Amino acid sequence: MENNKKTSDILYVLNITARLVAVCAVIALLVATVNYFTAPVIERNNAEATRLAIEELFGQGVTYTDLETSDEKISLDTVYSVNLGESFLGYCAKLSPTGFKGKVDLLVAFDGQGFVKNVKVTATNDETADIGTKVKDVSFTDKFIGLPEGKKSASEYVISGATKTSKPVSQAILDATDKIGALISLEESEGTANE
Amino acid sequence: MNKLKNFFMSGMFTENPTFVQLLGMCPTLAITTSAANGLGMGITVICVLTLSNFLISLLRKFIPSQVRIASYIVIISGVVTAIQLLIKAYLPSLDKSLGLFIPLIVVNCIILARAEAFASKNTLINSVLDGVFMGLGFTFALTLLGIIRELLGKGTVFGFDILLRFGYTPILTFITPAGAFITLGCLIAAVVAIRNKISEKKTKEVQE
Repeated sequence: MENNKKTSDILYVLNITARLVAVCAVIALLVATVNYFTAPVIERNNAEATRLAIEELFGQGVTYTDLETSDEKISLDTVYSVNLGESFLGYCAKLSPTGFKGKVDLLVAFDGQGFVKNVKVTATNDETADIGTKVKDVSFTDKFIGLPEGKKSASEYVISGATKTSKPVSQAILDATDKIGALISLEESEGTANE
Repeated sequence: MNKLKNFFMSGMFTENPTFVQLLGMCPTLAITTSAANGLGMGITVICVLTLSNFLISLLRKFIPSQVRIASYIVIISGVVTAIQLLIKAYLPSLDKSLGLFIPLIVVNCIILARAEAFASKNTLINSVLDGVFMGLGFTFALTLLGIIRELLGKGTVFGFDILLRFGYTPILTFITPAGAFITLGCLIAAVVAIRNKISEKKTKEVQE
């Protein structure tokens, strides 16, 4: 009698578990199907957005290559080498510092000697409208042009009333100038060694 | 026709999820910094609510009551993930505006509340209609809130200059969380006053 009850309980639990697993499997299949069709489109959108942003910084018709730097001294989210035809134009660093509520995405353009040519904030994501989003203004981004010449601490570049967003962004750009400088030194020493 | 009218009145006015049921307050307050954001979020919620109600109603006899909440959460999160991928692929500008609040739709009380209170106990068509009209009510509330906040906080509506040309100085408080609470509170007070008047009028008619 007791054994029958135990078996019945086990079957009852297995029945419920099996149904829950079936529901999960159906939903997983739905999501996988949607992902199969949308993943290539999303990747194309991201690549197109990056291309447009880099063209805005360096000019139309440029090509760029992801350097995939692994050296610890120059680890950046992503660094592109930018060319116009055969001519080397400089580097473009893709940064994503954490602001007040989330990531702030930006591109920093460097010339061949490692000086900042331009800065473009591509997405402020969840930052407060008209407060944290002020980091997109030209009056803020233009402060960094020419760095590392005349480099100051991050606090000197912040936007009053929006420090929680502008300070991490400033720090990220200042750190990027150091790392691009290290990248250029590394490439020059590798070039000297090959000679 | 009567059925459609009942669903419409319920979703938009008598059981409006924002002004009457006070559900989904987090995205309501956070996303309505502009009319376009409110409308975009509302349309996304209509899609999620309709699809999740459809699936839950379809599976209502298959899902055991002991694991119904877990099943509903799996279904809702799957639907939200699928819709988020579709938005990222085909409406990237909307994805940028709504950001983190699309995945947060999973824990929006409206979705789970309608799943538990309606879709799990009603037929497929009725559940779909409930999802559509509750979503419409939510969209109406968010868009109205977004219009007021954007008008007073930026002087524009859907990005079009309405007040700035008259020398209006935007009151930035209305696009901050404090402004969201103030505006929502005033709208809820207005809705309660209207409902009370209608209720008084009905009571008088019955007495006569």
